Amino acid sequence: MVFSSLKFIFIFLPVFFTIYYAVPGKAKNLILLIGSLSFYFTGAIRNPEHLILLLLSILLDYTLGLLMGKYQKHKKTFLCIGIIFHVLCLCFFKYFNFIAGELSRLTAANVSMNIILPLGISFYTFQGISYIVDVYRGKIQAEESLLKFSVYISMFEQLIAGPIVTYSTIKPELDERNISKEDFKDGLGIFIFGLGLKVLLANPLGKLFTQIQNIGFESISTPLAWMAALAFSFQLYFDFFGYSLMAQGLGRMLGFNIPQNFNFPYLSRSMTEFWRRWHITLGSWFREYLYIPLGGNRKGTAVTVRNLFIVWILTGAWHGAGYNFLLWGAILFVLIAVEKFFIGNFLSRHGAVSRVYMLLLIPLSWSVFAITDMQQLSIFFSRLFPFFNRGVEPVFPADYLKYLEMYYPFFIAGVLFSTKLPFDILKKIKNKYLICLLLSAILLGCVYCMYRGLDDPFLYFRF
Amino acid sequence: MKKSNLIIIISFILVIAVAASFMLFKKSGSSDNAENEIGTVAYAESGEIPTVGYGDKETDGHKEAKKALFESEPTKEKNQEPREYKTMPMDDALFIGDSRTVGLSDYGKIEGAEFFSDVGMSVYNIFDKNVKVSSVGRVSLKNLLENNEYSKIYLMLGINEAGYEIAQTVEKYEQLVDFVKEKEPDAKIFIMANLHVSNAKSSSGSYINNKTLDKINEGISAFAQKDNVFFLDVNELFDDNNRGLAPSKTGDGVHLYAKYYVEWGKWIVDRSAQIWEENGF
Repeated sequence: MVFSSLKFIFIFLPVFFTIYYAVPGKAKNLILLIGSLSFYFTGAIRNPEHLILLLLSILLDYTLGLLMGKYQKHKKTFLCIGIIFHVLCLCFFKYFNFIAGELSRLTAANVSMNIILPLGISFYTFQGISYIVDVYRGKIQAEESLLKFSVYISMFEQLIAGPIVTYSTIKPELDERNISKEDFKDGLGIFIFGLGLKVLLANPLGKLFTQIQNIGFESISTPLAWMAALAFSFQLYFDFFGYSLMAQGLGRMLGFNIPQNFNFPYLSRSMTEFWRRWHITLGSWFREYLYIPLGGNRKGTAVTVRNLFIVWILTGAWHGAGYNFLLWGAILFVLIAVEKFFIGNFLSRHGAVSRVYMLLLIPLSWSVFAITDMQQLSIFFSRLFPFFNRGVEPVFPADYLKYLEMYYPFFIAGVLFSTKLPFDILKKIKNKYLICLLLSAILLGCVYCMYRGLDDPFLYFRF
Repeated sequence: MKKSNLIIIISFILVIAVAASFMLFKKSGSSDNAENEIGTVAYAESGEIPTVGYGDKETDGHKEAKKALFESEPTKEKNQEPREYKTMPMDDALFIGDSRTVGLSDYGKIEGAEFFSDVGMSVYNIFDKNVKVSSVGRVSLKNLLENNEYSKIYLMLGINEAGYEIAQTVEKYEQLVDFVKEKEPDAKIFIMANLHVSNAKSSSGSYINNKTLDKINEGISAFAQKDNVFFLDVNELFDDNNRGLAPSKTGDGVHLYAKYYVEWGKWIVDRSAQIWEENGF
């Protein structure tokens, strides 16, 4: 079950929140835990072992936290156990298929096993690691209540796709939270807005990218290739931004302040700035739990470069198992290192240049992220920059006009919603009825699209 | 240990036990079919799609694992030997069809031919559609046929009808053929078999599967008994050894990659030229 599904909106949400608001404050954590595990189970119903893994992770981190508090002498050992467990799980589920595939290819040995990636593992393992590290450092006291700790890891609004929330952020609200009518109203509004970004904007643009993939990159014109890169850039942003907003909205309705995860990243003037505005909680996690413990930028240039390399390669690997993700991470490392040591100041002083710089780098870097087959990636770049391959003519030269006619409203909306303008306008609207009308229209539009399957870039009801 | 913690631990153990039972039941049950193992396709069929997968993005490794589960034997594609195609003028040809005919129109390089095609076209809505035809503008099928003369008319419909009752679809198709014959009595009509879908798509549990498409194709092939009606089956060109659309030729299991439409176009012209010769037209 995902947030942008009819089952979630019309069955889970009403049932869950009715019970949640009906029970007294002390029982809310229990209801939230039951609701979250039920939510997870419906998504993992075909692989119930994934629920077992989640519960074992929770029990392990909880126990290790208590043990670190009780046996200070051995806290390093307990910390290592926890980190190794989480890293091993993540590596196994995420990378086994890829490694097996590569071994089969390179050695002709038949190594095959279908490992299904557990929902949310990339997120809840990082939350678990952040918890045990913070306990180790003495930043937080180990949580004594298993119920509260379980809620922290498993609460459904951030379990599947973040934001990655540290324990200290959420602790006061786990202990006690008051949910006002304003919280409910604002939270619902934010949820609906996020839903709209995902269903009405991200998914149609995702459909365009999928259509272009299905044409085959070798057959598309250069303008269409750039449209594909832009479409994917917008799809990824609004999909993830929308989902993060939905998580924030649900958090408000539950009485939690889930941290912001995006801060208009497409307005950035450098890749360094971009990664302070994009998936903010992930960047913070890598900074806090990897970059700084490695020494950050405090131990000279060579160590700083090494640390940046490690962080960005692992960032790439975290996003997916494939050579393209490592390449993507390496590209980000090069860009950020170059900005840090050479051109950062220049970019910050020259607005126009920096905008053009980012206007090119954003879709190009996302293209490397999007296309997992290295040969296809090479073909795609040859379409983006045709002057490097003796100008192969596309089969259908006017293809971009056809798709522009179909998708131009989404591109315009994509550009608009990448800026602060619509958000500033929304904040200025004081008329409650107008806001209600707008949100109702968004919700109705989303429900219609979800019902018709129009939101789904992968599902072809019409051929 | 606090009572509340004990209760939670016991609850967790119970949940783990239930989940473990589920696992054992799933492994021993007959409903353990391949597509239920694969999150993405099964989600697709239920209309529930996880987020793009940022952070848990499906990779080629996952896709390869999927293929291995869907195909009990390694997929073998037919050896495609280069062939010489006959040609003939196609500026008196009209193609009527759905999204795959749209692909043929965009990428098939059939010079001079007209296309009355649209995504979602079916025998159930064809008479209600107004479609943009390049030399004519936006027009209904009736107006197009009444005001233009074609000597070759190609029909490829069926995949959007796969959810309907087959006999009813074939009957509707026959009505379409009779309509076209009435409006263009001198034209040669080519009924084109529906292109297969990939075996992965076919096995995904959807109504879009090769068994249904083959039944539709069998039904519509009978129209070739009428005068000046012929049946062309392009599946011989693009099927793999398992009689599904070869996976290397499609991105979504349904539509060919654009580069194969050129070959398809040549094949259609070649077959048409052969039929022309054989029948002395």
